Amino acid sequence: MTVPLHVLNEGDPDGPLVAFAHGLEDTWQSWRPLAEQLGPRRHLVALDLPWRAGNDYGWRRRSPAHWLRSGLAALPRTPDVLVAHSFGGNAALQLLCADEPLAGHTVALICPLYRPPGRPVTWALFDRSRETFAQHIHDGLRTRMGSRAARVDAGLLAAMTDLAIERVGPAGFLTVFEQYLATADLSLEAVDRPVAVLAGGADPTLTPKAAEVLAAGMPGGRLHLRDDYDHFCHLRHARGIADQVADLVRLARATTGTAG
Amino acid sequence: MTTALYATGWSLHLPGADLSAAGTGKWARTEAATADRAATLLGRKGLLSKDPATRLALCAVHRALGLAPGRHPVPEPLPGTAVVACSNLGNVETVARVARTVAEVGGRAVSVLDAPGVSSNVVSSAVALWFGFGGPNMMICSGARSGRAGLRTAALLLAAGRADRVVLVGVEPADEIALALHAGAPPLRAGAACVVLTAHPGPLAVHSRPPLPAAVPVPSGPVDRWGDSYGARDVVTLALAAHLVADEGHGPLAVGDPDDEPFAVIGGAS
Amino acid sequence: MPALVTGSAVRTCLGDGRRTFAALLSGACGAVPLRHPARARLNVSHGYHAAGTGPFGAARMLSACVAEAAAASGLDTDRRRVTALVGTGLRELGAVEEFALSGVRPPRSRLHFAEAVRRVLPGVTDVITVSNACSAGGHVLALAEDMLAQGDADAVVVAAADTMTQSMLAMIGRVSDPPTTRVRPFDRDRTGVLLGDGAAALVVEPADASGPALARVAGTGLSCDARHETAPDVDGICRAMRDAYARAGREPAETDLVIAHGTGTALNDPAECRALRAVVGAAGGSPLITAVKGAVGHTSGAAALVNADVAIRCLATGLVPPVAGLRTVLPEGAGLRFAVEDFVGLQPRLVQVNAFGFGGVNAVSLLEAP
Repeated sequence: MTVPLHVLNEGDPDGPLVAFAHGLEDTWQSWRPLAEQLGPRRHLVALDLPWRAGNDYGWRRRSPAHWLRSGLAALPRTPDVLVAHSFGGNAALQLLCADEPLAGHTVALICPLYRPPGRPVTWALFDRSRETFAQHIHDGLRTRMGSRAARVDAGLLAAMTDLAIERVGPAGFLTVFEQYLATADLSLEAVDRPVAVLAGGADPTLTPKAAEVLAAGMPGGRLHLRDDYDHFCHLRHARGIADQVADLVRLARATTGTAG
Repeated sequence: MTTALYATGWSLHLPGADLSAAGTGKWARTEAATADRAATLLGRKGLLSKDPATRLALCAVHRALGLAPGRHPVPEPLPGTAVVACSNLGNVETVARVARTVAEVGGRAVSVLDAPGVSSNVVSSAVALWFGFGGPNMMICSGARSGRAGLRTAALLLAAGRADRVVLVGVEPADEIALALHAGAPPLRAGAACVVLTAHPGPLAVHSRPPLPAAVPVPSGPVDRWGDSYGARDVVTLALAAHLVADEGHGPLAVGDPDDEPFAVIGGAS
Repeated sequence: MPALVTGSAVRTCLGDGRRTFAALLSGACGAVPLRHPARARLNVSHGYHAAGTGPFGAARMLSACVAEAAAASGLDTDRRRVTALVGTGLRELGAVEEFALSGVRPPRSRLHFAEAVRRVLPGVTDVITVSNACSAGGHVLALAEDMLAQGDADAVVVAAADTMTQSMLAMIGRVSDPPTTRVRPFDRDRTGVLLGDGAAALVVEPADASGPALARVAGTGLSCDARHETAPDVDGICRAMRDAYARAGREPAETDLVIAHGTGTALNDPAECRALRAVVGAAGGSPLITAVKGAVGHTSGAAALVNADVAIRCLATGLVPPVAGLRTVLPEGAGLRFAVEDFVGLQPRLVQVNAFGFGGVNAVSLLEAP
């Protein structure tokens, strides 16, 4: 199993390289709206990670970080910015805490899963995570349908959600849940490269409070929080997210001395 | 509105049946080859893998087209000629034999030559392939009323301009499986019949939709004595009526069950 | 002649119409290890089984679909002459096999589907069973259009059903070695076809019918290859496509979606690609192509109407399911656009639905929003 790469924009030969890592039950194609906002000069590459929509969870034998790393290793060079969403952001967090150089000169983490260390692991948390997970699948489907979601009857969407949850199965969910639990033990203090944590007030997955703890725990971290951002803000607010990525591109080019 | 169809050819191919009883004139003396001896009419080439029902159907079509004995070169597919075949038991022996082979020897012992026959449209598609008929191809498996459904289908294909000629053929075999499935009814008659239909005005009109012109029924006694042609029965009766009207000087004849409204009238003003 | 579809129902291994479409959009594959007593002897390891099959399962699925579609369309058999046309590839030949093996004789009236339809639609004036292999559903849809055009019926229930027979499974086992585990339409590495249980029913009414409709059938073209007993023929397929466009009075370039036959066999998929290129591509069309048999298997006689139901749902939602099982497009598909991996947002104007069968019988339908 390899991690295919999809070029969203060729860009200039010496232009900045931005790599994208999608979330669980999502697809590399979800980066298109953001890519369109990032202009013609930048070289934009989306990783097609094994936790894509419709997958059979055979990737669970290896860590998410392993898969992300093997995708990044196939890039022509270290990306100026790694943009990672949700579960893809968790894979990036693991690489960052291991101080993996391939994980980008700068990183944008959009709504990763994060459990602040003080938060106890209870059945209530488990139940809430299950609900959030189902909601996440449902919202992800709606988001991927775009404007057509309005024409899709609720029963069809519910059936698709049920099918996805059935396919993920308890084992798949537990993998995600354990990833989430383990975030409390990450060595965030090792992360000294610039990392922007992008989060929203309307996201049930990463609460503003948790996002704040996460950003504050990383020496290179800074928080960009907006009340109207939800879990799929890179699709719904592609313009605003693109501005954040552009800031990181400039920062990366400045620190690596390649800014032209 | 009465849909006017015209018959340009017709045949009965009922091996072993005594046709003289039906007052069939010159037909009474025609021999109908059994499925085993179909090569005498059709030629040998390509016949080996054909099941008995397909052979009988090919014989009936061959005769309805007025072809001389022997294999005729297959032309490029004629898109204007459609085939409507009617049969219920045509492929049951093949299906049963394949199932028994699987059970007794295993799937690998099954012959791929039987592949066409496990699908129920083997008769209609074999007729198309044999004579090069590239128009719509329909296999009606609708029980005893298959033939009238076939005639209705033929009329639709012509009216819709899907074909300018329809070869309507009915056939049933009388193998062990077919006989057993047909048990409890009058004895099954192996044989086929064919009527070639067009929408171009011709001497023999076939009325297939009510109100039908006044007509006397086709004599049913001989048809009953030949045995039950089941899915082919309506086509047998149609072909007989066509023959009696066109070749033996009968007036218009109504075709159908004695107790019901006829489903067609052969002959008379169109 | 155009006609309106006012009701539609299907049953596949993935469930009813909505469940099936949801699963198609999700990229699901319904193949499971073959549940057949003779499995070990057949060299067929997998199949796409629907719930509730078994003896006379085709008739049961058919009844369920006819009842659902008739209810959805508000079909009134008291005041209108309704004919039912049932397409099937294998009828209830499973019962004939059972008879051959165990001596349990089926009533011959149950080898066709008049009883199955009348049970749920007692007022129907006529039931005709058309056994036209894998394109039976498309053939009965064509006949329904002709019946409505000729005033031969006020409404037509167009239905189709098939379950697996041992004899057809044996033939599939003879030509696939090693056995196929899933159908992969249009894939370079496809390994052949598998059967799927399936049934479907559409209620079709004249183009001027009042009331809500699901789709308009612009026309259906038919042809017979008359070239080979079992192998497809590009010329024959092209004739059916051209006939469909001529009847509908439409141009191939207008088509923006094709629900392909796509059986995943060595011969069908290249032939279908060549025909699409010759008829649609050559006329300037560049439609998105999808196929469902990777998800639901080959539902034989029901395949055309299962495809039609999918087309109707694509028209309604603006979402097109990907070809389940397609990873690398076959060489003959170069230049054609396939829906892969994920569903595609597309509001089709004209949808071409293909079905080709044993014996070279081809049916191509064109559907559009009502």
